[in-house]
Amino acid sequence: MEIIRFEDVRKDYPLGKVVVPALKGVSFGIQEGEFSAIAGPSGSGKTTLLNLIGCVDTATSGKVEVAGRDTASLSDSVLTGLRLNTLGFIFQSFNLIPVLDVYDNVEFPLLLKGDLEKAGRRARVLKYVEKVGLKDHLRHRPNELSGGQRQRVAIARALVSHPRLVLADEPTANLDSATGESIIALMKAMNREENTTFLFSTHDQKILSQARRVIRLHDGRVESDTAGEAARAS
Amino acid sequence: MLLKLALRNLLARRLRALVVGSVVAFGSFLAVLGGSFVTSLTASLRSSLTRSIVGDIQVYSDQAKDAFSLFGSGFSGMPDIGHIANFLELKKSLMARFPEIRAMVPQGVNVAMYSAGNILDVKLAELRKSFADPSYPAGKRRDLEAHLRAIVAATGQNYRDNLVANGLVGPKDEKKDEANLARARNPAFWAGFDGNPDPKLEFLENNIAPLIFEDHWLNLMYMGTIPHQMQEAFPQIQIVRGRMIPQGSRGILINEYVYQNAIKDQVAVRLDQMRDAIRDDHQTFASSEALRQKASANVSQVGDILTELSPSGASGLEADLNGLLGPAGEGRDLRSRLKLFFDMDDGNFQQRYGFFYRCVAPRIVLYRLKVGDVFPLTSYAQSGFSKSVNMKIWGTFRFSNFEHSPLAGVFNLMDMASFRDLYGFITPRRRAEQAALEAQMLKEDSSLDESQKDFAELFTHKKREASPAGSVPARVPESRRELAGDKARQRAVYSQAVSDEAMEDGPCLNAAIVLKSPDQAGRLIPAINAYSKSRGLGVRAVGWEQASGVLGQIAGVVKWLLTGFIAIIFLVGAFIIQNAMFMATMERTVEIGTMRAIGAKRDFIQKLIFAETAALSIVFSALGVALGLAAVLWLGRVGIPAPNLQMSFLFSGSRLYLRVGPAMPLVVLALTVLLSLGASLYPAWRANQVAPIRAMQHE
Repeated sequence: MEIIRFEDVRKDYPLGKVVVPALKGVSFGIQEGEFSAIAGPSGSGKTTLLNLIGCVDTATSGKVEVAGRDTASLSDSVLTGLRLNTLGFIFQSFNLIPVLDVYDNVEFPLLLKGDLEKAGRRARVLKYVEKVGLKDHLRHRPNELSGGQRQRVAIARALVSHPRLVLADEPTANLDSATGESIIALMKAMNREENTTFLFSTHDQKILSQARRVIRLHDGRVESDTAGEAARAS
Repeated sequence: MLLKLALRNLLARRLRALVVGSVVAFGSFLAVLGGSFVTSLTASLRSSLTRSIVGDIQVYSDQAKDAFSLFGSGFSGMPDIGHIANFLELKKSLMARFPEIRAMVPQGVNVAMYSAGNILDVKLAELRKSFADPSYPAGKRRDLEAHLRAIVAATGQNYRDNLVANGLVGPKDEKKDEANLARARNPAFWAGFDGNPDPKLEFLENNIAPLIFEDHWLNLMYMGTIPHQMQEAFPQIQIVRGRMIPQGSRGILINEYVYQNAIKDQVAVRLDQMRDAIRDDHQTFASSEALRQKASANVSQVGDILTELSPSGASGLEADLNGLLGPAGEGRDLRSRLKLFFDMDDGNFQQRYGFFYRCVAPRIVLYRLKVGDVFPLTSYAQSGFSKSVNMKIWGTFRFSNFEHSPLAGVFNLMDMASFRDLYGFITPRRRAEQAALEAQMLKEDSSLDESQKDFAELFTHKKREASPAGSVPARVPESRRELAGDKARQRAVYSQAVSDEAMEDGPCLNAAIVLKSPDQAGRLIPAINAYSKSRGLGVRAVGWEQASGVLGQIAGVVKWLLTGFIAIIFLVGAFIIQNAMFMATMERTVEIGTMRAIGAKRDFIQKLIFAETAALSIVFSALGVALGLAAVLWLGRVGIPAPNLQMSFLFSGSRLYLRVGPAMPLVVLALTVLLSLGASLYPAWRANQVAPIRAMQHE
């Protein structure tokens, strides 16, 4: 079942009097449970594509479907609900809430959802904090953690509410390569254990090798859509 | 979570929170302190006014043309408030209907004039008394005669310098005056003075005294009432000298403020003011222009002191001054010695102040009126004619707390019967009494011989035809017979007994109502008005604030000024809060965008900003309120000292003791929080406009 569907999607950004096209008619689909990567050089449209899927931006033309719903027709509050219930985000700069500790950051989406009691939330938070290997750092604030640890918290936060799709925009860009690889390995483990769909962008070849499918963008268009090395290896 | 996040955000930006919080705390502190100040001031003023003169409620005619105000409206002139036709009937009616009333006294405020005359008048009066008193020491009378001769000798120069030089005298009168002056200066005039003094005294009073330019006119504002009832109803009336006007007697009780400021010799008044300024306000001659001006005014008034000194008094003072200032040099007369004495400075003031009261005051006329004196008061009646009544001074009094107030301090108390005479009210009862009295007097007059009639005339101090001040037209008697009868009536009137009932049974201008419980005033005022309307009583009731006119409004003005000041502080505070929260929002757009991206709704963001503001304002406002309460409690114990006399009047005493009600801290806290939330409306709106895509934008 396709969780993402792009049909001839265009996205233009007005820059003064000039219109800069970021995506020039992109079409593809992502099946539920995939572990896929968006590749391409800077300015190729990777972030724009993720923003459209993440319902934080809208296409200029074409159709973007997330979990079977055409995002162009949805209101702000429905889009917010979609982000809360269906999507998880992992950001390049981690984007943790600086005043909250590890536990509170991970608990945050659960509080927004409000469907679990305190004990249920606690069990869920502890489960994911343990999965990302930070159970000894529960009361640490983001500024007391390393970059890799922060991204692990972000992964726990993205997964804690059991989203169907996790979007990660250059999740390893601010990490050294060893840490980056461990983060991708963690994401991959989660994909395997939870059957959560992962779509991440990167231009790091080493990281790309972990993906089962790689969609390459160039100058706002899909240049190639191939099985990744991981898929080929398996 | 919202609160945790809000508090942690505030802690993360401690410095800014501290700055904003300090403004909030300062505003709350001021609001509690200022609010308590206004409450205490109003309560203090209310207690003083209602317990001294105003009462809890005032009633007056519903036909009044002007707004009723006991202390005036702030403009000159007495308001036309009509009158209550019969106080006794009104009192019976209201007290029967409203058991809440503890006491009700008739009142009426008016102004009368009194001329104490110049020094020649004063000394002539003393001389007359000496002739009437067989035990008067002969030596003292000779000294008095010598003093009179010295005054007459100096009068020519005074007359030419002031009246002639200023064109106040026509050539014909000038010739006549010079002839009179020549007669009075002639030693023959003073020969055999003791034999038949009256014609000579009359000559000096009618022909020489008017030529002295200096004259002392006094405007006395008085309240007609039933004095002993007034004292019982108003606990702040305190007798200072003499006694309260006895029940059943006529007379006047002078306000100590008037006694010390208007009746006292002006040189002494200035010295007292200088002493107060040095003692209470720590002024010095070196720094205070006002002090130097007062000293120089006293120097210029040395001439008045000299004319008040008898020859023996002058030589005695000269000797005392030599002791103080050292022996006089060549050509130094008493005038220059006195000028040197009054030219005071920081080094010699205390010593000379004491010397003045020890050596100068006993030799001059320190008070123009004294307790026990009978003096004529002249007022314009409603008809427009002037009315004169002889008035006995029974004593002086003060309103405690208003000792230093020129506004309340000007009221003197007079019996209601004399008030009605001066105001031109004639009750049927009074008309009958007057007719009986006149019949009696005429009978007595026919038995007087000429010299007795002259004495009767002289005793009553009848003034000359026109005074230099020209403000009071004295009536010219048409015949000696009429004059003697008129004077005798006046004399008889002040000693006439008047019952309380007679004082009540007649008109008055207004009436003060004192309640058993002052808190009932708010309910009783409309009730009295409704009752008056339904029963046709013809009166209107007002509360103390309105009845006190300008004084009652002072509390209101102070209240508005302070409220305005606190409002400005709060507006500035609101502006600072708005800016701080706006900056905090703009600095956190990525964080807010992240929250939005991971599923926070717009109203969550808005609530977060409000929670931050509420937490900040509750904590710091509570701190400000607590500090304010502590300050109020402290100032409630030690009191705020009144920095000057005006403030001591507002404070109703030398210190204002603050107090605070239980509701005020809560009101201040609630208002502060509401205002802070209002100030964060715009930042909250800007925050909820932050798009989730901001999360993707890297810093």
